[in-house]
Amino acid sequence: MNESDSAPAESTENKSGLSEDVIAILAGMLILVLCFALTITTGERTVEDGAVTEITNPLKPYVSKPSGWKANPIESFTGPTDKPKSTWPGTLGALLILGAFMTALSPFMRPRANPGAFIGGFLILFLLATIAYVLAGQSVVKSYNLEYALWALVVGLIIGNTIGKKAFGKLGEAAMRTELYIKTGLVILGAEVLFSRLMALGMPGVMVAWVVTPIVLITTFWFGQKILKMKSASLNMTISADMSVCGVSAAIATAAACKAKKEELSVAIGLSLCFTAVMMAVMPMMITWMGLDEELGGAWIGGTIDATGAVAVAGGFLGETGLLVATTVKMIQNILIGVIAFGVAVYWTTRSDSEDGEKPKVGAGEIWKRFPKFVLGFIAASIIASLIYASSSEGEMMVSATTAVTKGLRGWLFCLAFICIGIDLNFRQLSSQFHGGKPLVLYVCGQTLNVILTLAMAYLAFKVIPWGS
Amino acid sequence: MKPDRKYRGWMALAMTGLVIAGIWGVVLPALAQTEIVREREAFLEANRIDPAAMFYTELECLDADK
Repeated sequence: MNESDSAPAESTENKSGLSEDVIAILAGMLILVLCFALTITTGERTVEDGAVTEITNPLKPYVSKPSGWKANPIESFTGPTDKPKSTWPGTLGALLILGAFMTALSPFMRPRANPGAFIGGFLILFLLATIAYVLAGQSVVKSYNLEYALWALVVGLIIGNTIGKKAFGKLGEAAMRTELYIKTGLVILGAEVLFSRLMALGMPGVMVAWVVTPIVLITTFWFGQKILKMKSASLNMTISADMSVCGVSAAIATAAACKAKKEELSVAIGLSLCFTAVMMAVMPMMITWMGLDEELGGAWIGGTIDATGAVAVAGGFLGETGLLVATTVKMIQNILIGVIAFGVAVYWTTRSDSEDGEKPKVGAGEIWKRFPKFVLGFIAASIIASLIYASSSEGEMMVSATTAVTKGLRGWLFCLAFICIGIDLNFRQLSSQFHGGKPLVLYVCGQTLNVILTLAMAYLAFKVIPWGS
Repeated sequence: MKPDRKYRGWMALAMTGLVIAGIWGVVLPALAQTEIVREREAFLEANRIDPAAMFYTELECLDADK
């Protein structure tokens, strides 16, 4: 993402140190290697009838987020009285692990940070992220798919627009590194993008998730640029990706790949969450009214509703088959974000900047200079995890045990990033993005195309083509 | 930041904090007790659905087909 408007003026001192991309790859890979090593060497193996059925990473109890609660927010750290489940050791563990990694790398960051100031600022941000998780965990809020990303933005916006980021002084300056948290989170997310799971529903699933999605993404982007004539191509791309692929996670990956501004990412996420809440309720009703069966309805839901959790809710309303098909289609679509992020990064480094008056053709050296390197870490993590997954009978369990820990750390990193984005934003910057209502028109038109194309493809793939059966 | 502006900033933060505490501490817990929300929660729990999942790895309901 582009933080040029918020970054301090670049002096010689500020230019020294490693770029965020390099630090993100280092931190992300170190965390992944550590977690994989712990799973392989000291993972607890459950054996049934002489065969290993489950592996548990020893760090699992020490990495979690505050859980859901109904009436008392303390329950998000202790669990309800009838079903106690302590999440405070996991919250503290995540703080220790991420705090230690990031603080150790802080002297190498650009601009360099004093480790003492960094850890102080990191503690404040982590506290705010914890508040965002607690707000998101309230049962009513949670059941309507209002994800932690939204509440982290809200918490950040409140801080930024009341006391302002200057209130944190040097501590805030040292630790507020939106791009670093997002990119490190994305490198870690790479290990969850398993190409081995692509064929979980066979060819019908691939057709719905991997054929329609790129068509909708490209058409929506073209529509925004050529018909709506949106000024910001990166906002256009981020909205197109979060609407066509898989909501917040796709928005984060694409925004980082096309260097979108923080307010553009916020707008894309806000739009996606609003429409997701509506579609989650409306689509199951429409499917019932249209008389579609659970398989077709599930595939339609999985391919169209943005957020993964909302897909599960809507699919579940249809029934067991609906839930299974919807979530599996969404899982296949989730895997697409690796390819999308790479494709967008390549496209952006080779073409998009020509709009600013630069030469349309750029050399290999320039492409490499502009290319967001963290994408390579993200793809590498995905390929390595996919290979481990497919390597042996225990491969799948090893990856699952490892990602059970890393997904918690990835969530905290994204939450920290959204806190920083919120603190850095002001309401005027945010509202200016809605100028002329073009983002809304883009989303509505793109989603309409998505809904029609996905239904047609799902019908073709699940009901018309006889896949050798 | 001027002292007056700084004071107003902290006051605004305190007021916003109070409003949030009121909504999350009183309104939402009361809503959580309604029949419609309880039914929805029971449905989510029975199907092992995390409605706030951002990625498929956060969905327990997919575990069975792993």
